[in-house]
Amino acid sequence: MNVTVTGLGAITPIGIGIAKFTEALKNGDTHFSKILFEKEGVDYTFPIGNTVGFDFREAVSRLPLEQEVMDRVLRMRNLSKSASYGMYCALEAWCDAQLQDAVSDRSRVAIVSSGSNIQQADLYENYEKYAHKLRFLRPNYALNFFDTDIVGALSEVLGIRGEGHAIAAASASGNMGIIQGCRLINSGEYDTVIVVAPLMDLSLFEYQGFTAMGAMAGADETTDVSKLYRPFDRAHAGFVYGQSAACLVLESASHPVQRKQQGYGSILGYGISMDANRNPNPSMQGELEAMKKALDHSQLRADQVDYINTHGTGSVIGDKTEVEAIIAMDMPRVKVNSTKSLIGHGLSAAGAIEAVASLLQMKEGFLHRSNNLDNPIHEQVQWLRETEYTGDVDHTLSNSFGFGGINTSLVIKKN
Amino acid sequence: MKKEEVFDLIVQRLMDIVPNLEKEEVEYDSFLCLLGGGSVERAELIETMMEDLGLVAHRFEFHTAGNLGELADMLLEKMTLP
Repeated sequence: MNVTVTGLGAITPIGIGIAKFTEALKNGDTHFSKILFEKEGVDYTFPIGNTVGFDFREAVSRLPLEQEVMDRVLRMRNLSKSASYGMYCALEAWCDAQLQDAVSDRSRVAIVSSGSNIQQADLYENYEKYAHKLRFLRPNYALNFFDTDIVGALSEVLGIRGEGHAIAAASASGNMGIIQGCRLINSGEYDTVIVVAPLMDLSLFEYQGFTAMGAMAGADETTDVSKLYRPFDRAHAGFVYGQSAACLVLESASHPVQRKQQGYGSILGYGISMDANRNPNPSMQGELEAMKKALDHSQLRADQVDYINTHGTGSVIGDKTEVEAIIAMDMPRVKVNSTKSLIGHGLSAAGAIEAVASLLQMKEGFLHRSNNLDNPIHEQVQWLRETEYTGDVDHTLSNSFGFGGINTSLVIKKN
Repeated sequence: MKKEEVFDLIVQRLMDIVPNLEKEEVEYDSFLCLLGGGSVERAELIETMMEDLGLVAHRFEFHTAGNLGELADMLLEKMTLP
C-alpha cells in the first residue's frame, strides 16, 4: 500500500476541530446528555453524545481558506446539518494538508463520502413541516436528500473535477470510505482523495428503531447518562449515539513529498470480510478474518501491533465477540481502548473519526483512557482504563463492524 | 394586492434565496440568472411565492416568465382570476 494521510478534520461531542479533539482525547473528556422528543402527546427520551456550539459559518470563517474558496462556502445554501458538519471537516482537512496551492490538476482529486441515509433528521423535519402542504415543498429537497449532496457541494467549493461518490457499509462506512480512498489511489487514477464522513443525523425514527432492536442503551429521566455508556464493562447495555463527523485527506506516498509534507501516518493495509448474515449479530470468525486480512495486506505480524482502536460499541454480544476475536489474534503487547466510550457511536462516521483518533494518538504519543471501564468483561486484554498511556505507538489496528455482517479493519502506521 | 406589492414580495424572497443580493440590484426587467440564481433558485422562488400568495396552480405555468416583472404580472393575474 502506498497511501499517506496528510490532513485531518473533526467534529465531535468533546471537541470541534483537530486541536480541540486532540486535547480532549488526552484529557479523556466525555459529553453525554439526553435528547427529548415529543410525538403525538408521547415523550421519548434517548441518551446522546451531543456536539454543542458548532456554528458552520463562524467555524469555516476561522479556517485559512483562499478568499475565492471562502466566498463559495459562505454562499452555500440549504446544506443539511449532516452536510455542514462534513463540509467543515473536509475544509479543515484540506487546509491541514496544505493542498490549496499544491493541487494544480483537480481532475486528479476524488471525493468519497462515507455513509448512507445520513440526513434523516433533516428529512424528517421536512416531512413534518410539509405534511399538510406538500405542494409547497421546496424544490431543493430533490437535490439535498441525496447522500451525495455533500460530494457535489464540496466539489463546487474546492473545484474538484475527479470522481465523487458515497459509499456505505452501515457502521463500518467510515472504514469503507477510507478503504475506497486507498483503492482509488493505488489504482493510480488519483493522487489525492478526500474521504469525508458527514454527521449521521438521526431522527426520532432511528433512535426509536435502534432502541426497539435493543442496540441502543435505554434512558429515562432517572438515568445518569455519565455512567450509561460502558463499552467492554460488565455493566454494558448497548450503544449511545454520538454526533461526530470526520475527514481524512489521503495522498499517494510520493505526492506530499513534493511539498515536504510528512503527514500523520500511512494506511498500510486493510481487511474486509462478510458473515453471510443479514442481521445485526456479529461473528467472531468474521471479525478475526478482517483483522487477519488487514495484517496480511500490510505484511505485518500480529506481535508488531501496538494498539487496537476497537469497534467497542458497548453492545453485550458485540463487545464479547470482538474480545474473543482480539484474543484469537494473539497480539501479546497490544493495548486496547474504545474511542466510542468518550464520544459515543458515530454510526456511519465512526470508522473515520476513530481513524482520526488513532492517527492523533500515534502522532502525539499517547493512548486515551476508556470511560466507565470499571470491570472489564475479560482480563486477558491490556485495557486502557482509568489512565492514559504515554509512549510510542507505531502500528494501530482500527476495527469497524456493521450490521449485515460487514467486518473491516485498517492497519495504520505512524509516519 | 397591487403589482408593486407582488414585486416587492419577490424582491424580499430573492434576498433570502440568492446570497449577497442587494435590493437595489433587482428591477422589473431583471433576469434571475443574471442576479446569480439558477434553476433551483427559480423553482424555489416560484414555490415560495405561490405559498405566500396562497395560489393553487401548476408551478410550470410561471416558468415562461421572461423576467421578474413578468413573473409578478403572471402571479397577479392568477390571483385575480375568478
